[in-house]
Amino acid sequence: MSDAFDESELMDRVDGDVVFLEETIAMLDEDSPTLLDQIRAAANAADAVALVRSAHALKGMVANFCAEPAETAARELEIMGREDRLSDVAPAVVRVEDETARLTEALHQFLRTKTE
Amino acid sequence: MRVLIAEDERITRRALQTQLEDWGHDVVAAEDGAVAREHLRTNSFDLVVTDWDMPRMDGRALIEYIRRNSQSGYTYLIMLTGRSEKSDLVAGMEAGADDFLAKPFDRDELRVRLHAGERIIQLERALAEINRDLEAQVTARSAELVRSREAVIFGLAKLAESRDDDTGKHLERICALTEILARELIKHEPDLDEHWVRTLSTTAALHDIGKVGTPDAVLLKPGPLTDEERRIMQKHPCIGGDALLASNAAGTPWPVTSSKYIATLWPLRGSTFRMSPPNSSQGSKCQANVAPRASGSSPGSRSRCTAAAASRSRFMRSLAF
Repeated sequence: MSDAFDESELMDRVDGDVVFLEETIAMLDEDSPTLLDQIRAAANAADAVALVRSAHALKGMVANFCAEPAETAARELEIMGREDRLSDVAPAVVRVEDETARLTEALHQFLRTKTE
Repeated sequence: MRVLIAEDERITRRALQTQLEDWGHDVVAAEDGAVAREHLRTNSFDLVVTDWDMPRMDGRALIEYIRRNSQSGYTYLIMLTGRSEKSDLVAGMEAGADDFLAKPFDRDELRVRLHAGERIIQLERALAEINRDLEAQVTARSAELVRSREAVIFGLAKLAESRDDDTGKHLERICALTEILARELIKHEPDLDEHWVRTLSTTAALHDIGKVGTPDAVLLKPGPLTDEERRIMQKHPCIGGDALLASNAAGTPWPVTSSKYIATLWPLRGSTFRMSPPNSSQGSKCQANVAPRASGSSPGSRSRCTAAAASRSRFMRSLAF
């Protein structure tokens, strides 16, 4: 069992509907790379407003999967943007990337166990 | 219920739509506030669930738009907000949201909030129905009151006229003339309306009501009036005016303007007349200003043509004070 997300809470949230879960994981696969690109671009450009917007959107997206670590990483980045603390934002961006990757991997692994 | 979802994050949007459709609602999903607004322009929704942070048009702007443009009944608004965004929540409720739902949403929480919304919508509809019924009743009663008032006005005026039978269809003529003048006037006075015209033309009949206070010996005298008799005769608008002002003070809906008629139409009888303010220190609120009439004229023989023209002019002036 991965600590990237809460499996039982997630299955409760989707009401045990694996097909629906698969559909939403596909959406995460499609949309999260774009948001991560926007986060990186905002961080490189020191654009606090854009950083807040993209980090906020990613936070909302990963929260659907009961993914506390990825949600926390995205929230920290959003807060840094709101407080305009962009000088040391790079490690936070890396953390968000890592947690999102870990989440998607864990979700696919979990899905395989449910569809096999 | 017909539900509109406005949410730019598509997993949440899809999850909401799936859940609401599972519960039997008719759902339309929009990817931001601007798209939601387009749906609202062409469709009506019982309930809108909207995110706060959205591109193009955010939740606040959408909520404000709905509250400004709600025409087909009440729309219940649920705002989606992150757990840590209390300031957004306060701003959303201030903008007109009815309730909020934390993201990611909990199914049970969504269900109870929808039920709360349904109850409010049903109450709002019941209230609107009651208000429509009440409005219809008030309109019918008001029309009934107007008809009754007009009947009383005309009855009183005819009663007064019956004491002076040499004037033919005098009251009907005065009402018709007044209506013509009033319709001319409203073309130039934006504050005046059809109600004013109707009130004025109807109550014009009251100008003769003061004749009830004129002794028969004067009112019905076939020959020329003496100076004293003329002074008595010329008091009849004063009597009528005072009666109307007293009625106004008692809350009876005679327009004060009616009193002015007595002043303005009296010249038809060949005399001039002025009104003093209601708080005049003199005993009567209404004072006749007697202008000598051609000697030898009588109520039954005077020419009204030139006097009528003058009265029109005075009438127009009198409406301005």
